[in-house]
Amino acid sequence: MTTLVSSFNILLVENSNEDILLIRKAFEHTQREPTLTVVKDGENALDYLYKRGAYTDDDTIRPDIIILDLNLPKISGLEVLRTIKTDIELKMIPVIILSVSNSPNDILACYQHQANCYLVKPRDFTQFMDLIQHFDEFWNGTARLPIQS
Amino acid sequence: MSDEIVSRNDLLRKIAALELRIMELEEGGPCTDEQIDIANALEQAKNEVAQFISIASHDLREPLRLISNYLGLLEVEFADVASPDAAKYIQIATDNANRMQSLIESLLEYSKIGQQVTFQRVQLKHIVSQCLFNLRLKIDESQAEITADELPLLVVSESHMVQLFQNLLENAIKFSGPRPPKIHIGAQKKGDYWLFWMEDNGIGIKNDYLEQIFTMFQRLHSTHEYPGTGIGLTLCQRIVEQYGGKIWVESVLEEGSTFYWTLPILHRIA
Repeated sequence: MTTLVSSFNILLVENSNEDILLIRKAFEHTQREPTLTVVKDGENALDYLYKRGAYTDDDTIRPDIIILDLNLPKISGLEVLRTIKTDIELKMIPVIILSVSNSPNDILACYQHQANCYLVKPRDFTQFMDLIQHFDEFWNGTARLPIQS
Repeated sequence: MSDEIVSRNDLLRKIAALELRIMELEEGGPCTDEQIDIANALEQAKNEVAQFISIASHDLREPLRLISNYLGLLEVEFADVASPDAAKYIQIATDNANRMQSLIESLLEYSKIGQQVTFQRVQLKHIVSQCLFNLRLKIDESQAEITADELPLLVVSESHMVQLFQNLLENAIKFSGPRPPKIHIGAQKKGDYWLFWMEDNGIGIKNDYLEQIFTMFQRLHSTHEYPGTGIGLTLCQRIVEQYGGKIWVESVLEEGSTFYWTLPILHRIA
């Protein structure tokens, strides 16, 4: 059974439960709440995208966009990014890095691996809501994304 | 271009050489191997402390970010149902989380001073202009009058100099008392180093505390009287010492303070 979803589908790759809840809460305050699918490590992220492992059923939705943390167990965020961006099928999905790191080296490495945008997790919730608001307005409003085959 | 950028190793060698010369002069003879070992061990220890502070601050920052965010979430989601008392408690917790955040930021800044930096030819008068621009609101507000002697060109890190001059200027403005601040920056060449000073007409410092004020987190006033983290002068001291210089203060209570610092001439550029 395929779920019919017309909304904006985000794959959130994030290990911290606290951050997952913050991101969910911040999205609740946006205009059109997106469909948020959460995976908690790099291995699961790739399994989800390749519809393998625990994600072989039809319910797996190909995301419109991926929000990716860098600090992940098993397979790092940077490695997930590299895999996506070197895959002919997956590389057109925009990948937005959302990390605690403000280090120029991390930022550079992500753009070198074709990240579409790098965002730093804000220090307070007002800023967090602003960031998610901007994200939603831009990627779910202003930007035109590839239509999935 | 290449002679403008001095590598950190070059500079460290020069600092080491200068320190040796100072020690030789003070001791009245050439350094023994033991003294050289002590100097090297001291430098290493300082760098290790900075590294520790850097790691600790990064680790502290993460839980604090979540505390701040969840306090914010609490405020956003329950503001209309919470009692005025609850709102007040959330506010107090938030204020203190913010304060802790600035403390951690300043610790990180402190630990960065010893890390890889680029040295280049820097006109100190441009540094002072930059600081005046950064502080323009505080200067306007306090009606501060700031003057400076002719300042030299040195081979230094630009960001170090901005931090050094800006922290000292900010202090002079902050601790000005009821009078509008009058601040003068002086400079004089003394053999192979420059002596700088910054004189103000502020509240002054009791003689008992002249050394204490450079200690990390040491504050002579409550945060209500004079807000701040108590790390500004520690930063200044660490910067000056990076170049093999010294910083100290002379002061008359209720009349003003003069901060002095020295910076060796590493490259004399005509």
